[in-house]
Amino acid sequence: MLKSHICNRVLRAPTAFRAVRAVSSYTLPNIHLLEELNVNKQDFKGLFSHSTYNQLWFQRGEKLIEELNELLIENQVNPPNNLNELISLTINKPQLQKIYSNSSLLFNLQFFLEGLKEANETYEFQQLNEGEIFRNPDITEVSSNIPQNEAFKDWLSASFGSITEFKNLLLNSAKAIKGDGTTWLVAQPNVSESSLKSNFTGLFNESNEPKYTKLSVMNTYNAGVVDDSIRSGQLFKLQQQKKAKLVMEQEKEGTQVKQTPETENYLGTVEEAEFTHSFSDKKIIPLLAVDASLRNYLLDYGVFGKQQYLENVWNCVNWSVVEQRLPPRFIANFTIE
Amino acid sequence: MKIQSQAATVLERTSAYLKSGLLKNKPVWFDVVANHPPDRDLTRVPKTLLNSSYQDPMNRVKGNKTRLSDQELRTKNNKAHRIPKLKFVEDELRNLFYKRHPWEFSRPKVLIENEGNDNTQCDWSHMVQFNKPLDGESVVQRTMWLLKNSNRDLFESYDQARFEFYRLRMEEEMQSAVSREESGMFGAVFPTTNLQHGVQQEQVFVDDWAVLAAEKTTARRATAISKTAESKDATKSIFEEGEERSV
Amino acid sequence: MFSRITSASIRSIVRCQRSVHTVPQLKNQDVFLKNGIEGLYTPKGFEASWLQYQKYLTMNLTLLTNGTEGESRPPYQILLNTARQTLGQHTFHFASQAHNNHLMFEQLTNASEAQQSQPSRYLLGRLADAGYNNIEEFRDAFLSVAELSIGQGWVFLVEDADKSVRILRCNNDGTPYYYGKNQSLDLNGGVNEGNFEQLNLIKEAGTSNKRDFTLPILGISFWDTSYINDYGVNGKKEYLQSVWKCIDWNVVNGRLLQL
Repeated sequence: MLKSHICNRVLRAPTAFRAVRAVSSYTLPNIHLLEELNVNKQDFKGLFSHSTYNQLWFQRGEKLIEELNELLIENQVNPPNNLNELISLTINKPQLQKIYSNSSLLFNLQFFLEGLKEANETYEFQQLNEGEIFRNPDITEVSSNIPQNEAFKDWLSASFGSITEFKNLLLNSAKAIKGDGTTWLVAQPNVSESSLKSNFTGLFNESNEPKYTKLSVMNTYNAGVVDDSIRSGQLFKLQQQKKAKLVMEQEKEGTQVKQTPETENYLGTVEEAEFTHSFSDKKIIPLLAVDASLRNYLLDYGVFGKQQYLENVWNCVNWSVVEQRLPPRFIANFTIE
Repeated sequence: MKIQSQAATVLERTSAYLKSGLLKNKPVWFDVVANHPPDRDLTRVPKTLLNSSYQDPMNRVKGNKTRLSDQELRTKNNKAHRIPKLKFVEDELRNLFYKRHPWEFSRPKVLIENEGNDNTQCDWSHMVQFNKPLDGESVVQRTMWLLKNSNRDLFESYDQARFEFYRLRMEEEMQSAVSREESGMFGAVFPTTNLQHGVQQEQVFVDDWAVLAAEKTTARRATAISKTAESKDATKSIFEEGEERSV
Repeated sequence: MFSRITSASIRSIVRCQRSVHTVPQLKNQDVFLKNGIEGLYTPKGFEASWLQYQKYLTMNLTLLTNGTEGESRPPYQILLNTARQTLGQHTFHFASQAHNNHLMFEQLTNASEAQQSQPSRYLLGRLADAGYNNIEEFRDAFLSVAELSIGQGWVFLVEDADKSVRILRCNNDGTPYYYGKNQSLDLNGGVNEGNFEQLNLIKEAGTSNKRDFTLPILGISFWDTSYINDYGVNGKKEYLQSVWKCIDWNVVNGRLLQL
């Protein structure tokens, strides 16, 4: 079964200082490690200084929660038990866009921070200078902080070639994000949600649940969410609606449906191919998030320090959490695309 | 002293001049040449026929010899005059790299230099250079640097440089792909893709060519018809056709 | 070494010069580096937001344009050149950011000096035509666009071809000069009908090769780099209030062509 409940630890909890509000509301979820460090004002060893994680999680998180609660009251939305439900509830409602983005930002941030542990070695925070641009890429095989679970390692190697290649792909994807965004390691099912619903695959799949065959790396930007099955088909739906509307109007006016002539040398574009592929309506499970937004590294590493920050994130990944999030692997004898 | 034609004796003559007081000061080259005297006579002596066998009619084997054979004409001390073959490890590395990565040739290369010594501005302790695009030459130069400054042998150095190069290329490719995806998510629109742009550019020329080709075809057909009509001038029209084709 | 000589009929020698992109010198840069911008940045904050960040942008731009025609072009030309290229978007990022950041820092000055400058009557007239009756009304509208946006970006006051002005938000590295790369939409969450329609309009304009004559008059960054050092991760609102007080309106007025 999906282990998504692990990551949805934001609970509806009318705690003392929030009890003023009659409507149930969210509170900042408890990330054990950060709470512990924050009490003694310690640095997050090997990744963040105390002031940085304090601003990133305690202050920013609190701000997002506060805004979210206000918006929920304002729009009279009854908050569901976890953020995931709230996200899927609000994503397709333009009037609740702000609720969606706040909850999604919070979810992504929490997911990122919960997947971290302190590094074994301390790192001395300093503003790095332009010399970083000329830093030679490390071509040796990755040796620090690699996952221990053999099955997981095997799955990683099967999906990416090797752990080193996986690390390169993950960090390169994160480094390439220019604005706010998160790079994810996700598990991809072999079939889409819609085909599951249509029960076509029931022939091969008695339980009618998606089976996870492949791990992938993907990016989301700003308040984007990983789960394709939530956002899938939005543009397509709108396109269909528009077409239908156009046809109706033209029938009313009695004019002919205008055929837009395709230019003669028109190739199908890569974008179109991606469009059909990326909205493939699959129930994707996030396993690991790497927040690549500027605010994470500007204070401790400086504007030139993104690579160093990402290397440090790798050393702080808590693989045991990632392994808990793993869905059962399905090894197919043959694949159906 | 008689007129000297032998360049190799320049040292002896000069020292004689100095001794006799004909020269007051020692020329700057004097000590150098004294330490490294020319080991062979550098002057090219034209072959004369004096020693040749045809001088003596008794030695004639057969026929009259009017010129020297190739063997006799060959310069004997040609080592001094031959341009030496320059051999550099860099060239071999360059050949190897571009043979293995032929698509690297498709990247345009700028030949302009401001001073003519742009390579001196590069510091090959790192792969990324501020004044030079990342290309096969970077791999070569970095290999040479590693060979000199680390305890790697040639193959290890080349592999190190090569893999660094791959990693940087991967990173740039990822930057390009992610930047496009990212801007697309914020509503950026690209009217044509790179592929499509190429096809369109090509089509402009194809269209021009199609018009030209149609004209030529009608012209050729007309010639062919006239050729059958006036079979007398057949050779001429073939000639014309050939000319036309070369236009 | 290889200076190219054009045909004799032109009788001039074009010297091809290779060059690198460097950080442009601001008018009061040395003073700002020493004292910061009064009412906006500490010296350290100014150095990080302008000098360090601009250095980061121009250096990366140099690396990406090395050995191409872009190496001797200003960022403005590079961004226009790469805006339509699907494979050159990373180059576009650095060019566009370098240009926008320069545009913004050019118009900043110490708060006390900035208070002495006023938006010109011509500009106020244009703003009134756009529905902003006074400068305070415009300020609230302008800053709230930045404040309500999530993520990184720019907010511009732009002048259209018909001389009317409007507020334009550019997410991330968007540029005001070309509609295809304005990046004023955020399609990361749900896509509503309004956004979808706007996207279609841009697409249509793109395929019909419509030209864009929009010019920015005033630009404010809400990238983290421009406030995180002095205002912290959550200091966007405070920063926006301060930055408004440090706008040198003489520079902004000068950007409008007045007849």
